[in-house]
Amino acid sequence: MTSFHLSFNQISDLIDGDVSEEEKREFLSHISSCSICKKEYDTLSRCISLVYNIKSEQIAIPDICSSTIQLYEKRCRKRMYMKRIPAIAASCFIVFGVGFAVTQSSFNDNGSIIASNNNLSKTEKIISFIRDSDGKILKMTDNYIESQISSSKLEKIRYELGKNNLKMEIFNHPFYQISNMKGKNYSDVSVGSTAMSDVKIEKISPNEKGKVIIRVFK
Amino acid sequence: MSKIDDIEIISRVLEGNTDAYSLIIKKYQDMVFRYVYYQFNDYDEALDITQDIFITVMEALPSFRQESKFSTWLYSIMVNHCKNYRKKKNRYSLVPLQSKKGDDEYEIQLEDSRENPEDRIITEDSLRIVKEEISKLPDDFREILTLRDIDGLSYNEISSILGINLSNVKVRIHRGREYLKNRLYARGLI
Repeated sequence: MTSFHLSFNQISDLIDGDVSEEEKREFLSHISSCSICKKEYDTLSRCISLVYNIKSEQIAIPDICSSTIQLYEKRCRKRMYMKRIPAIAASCFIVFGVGFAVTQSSFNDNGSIIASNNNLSKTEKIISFIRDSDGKILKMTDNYIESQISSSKLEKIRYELGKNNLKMEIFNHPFYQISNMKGKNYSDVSVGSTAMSDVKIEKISPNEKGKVIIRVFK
Repeated sequence: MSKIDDIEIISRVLEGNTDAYSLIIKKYQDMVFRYVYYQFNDYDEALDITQDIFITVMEALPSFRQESKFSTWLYSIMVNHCKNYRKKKNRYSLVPLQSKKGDDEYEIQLEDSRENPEDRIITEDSLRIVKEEISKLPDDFREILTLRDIDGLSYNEISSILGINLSNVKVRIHRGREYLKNRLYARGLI
């Protein structure tokens, strides 16, 4: 036994061959004469050998080629799809956003879409009121729209037009007599004026039951 | 298959021939699987991770600049992938390091069979013990000993794969070996 011993690192380097020729000779010479270092050298050599030998273990590894490539392609497709999501979302947002901005639509009690009157032209408003009153458009000019509506709807359309500052004239229908409460006949009546409250519509023929012709000015 | 062959295969893959990649998988799947298996000591887990590693490598192929051997580059991806996987696994792992028995905690005792060390032939049992002890090593030691003592990589290759300098490689190998040697000694294997 000598007065010094090899360090663990030196023995490890010696086993790895990571020492110079001179060091190798010196270390091996020492190991041959030192039982402690010899034991340490043998122990570490066996430890490394055992670790290396686990490589000899038979492990059945299935062929993963096709499954790996399939998995790769699947992930590529998924990634492509994920990349498209923001674009799809942006497109939807634009389409719905623009649509909403243009129409500012809302739903009435029947579930049908009613265009907001705020952004409609006068013509569109008038058509909308006539349509809501189940009226029939007879004639459209640059200045007015003439339509036939049910007399029962007359009050309603009169109110709507008055609210929107639209002028209306009621024509003497061939089958109706339009007069004021004093019996005076009217060829036309301005809607929104107080005179309208005096208007009296009398049925004069049963053939066109409850129909009246109105002219709404733009 | 030489380095040139790997490069040729990679060129074909990069040209859009994904089927050519199966040649790479066939060549390296054993190496990758074994490394992963020794890191996690679980067959099914190792298989899944191996697939993930090959997918990661395939995705990263365009960035392979051929400054090192393909195998070294593959090793570095593999090592990093295992590190990341381990981190993720540990983050969500709720398994305690100590077993509980009623209210009293106890540590799992290692069997000391130093009294009967006559059979030192490498048997299935000794392999099992070595694998067990390797799996219990601190991550850094297990990683570097797998590369050095199982795969037989050089210090330089390990330095390149792990991204640490040579002296750190040596220090880590020495410490890992010493740690493992003491564990195997305690198990009566050496």
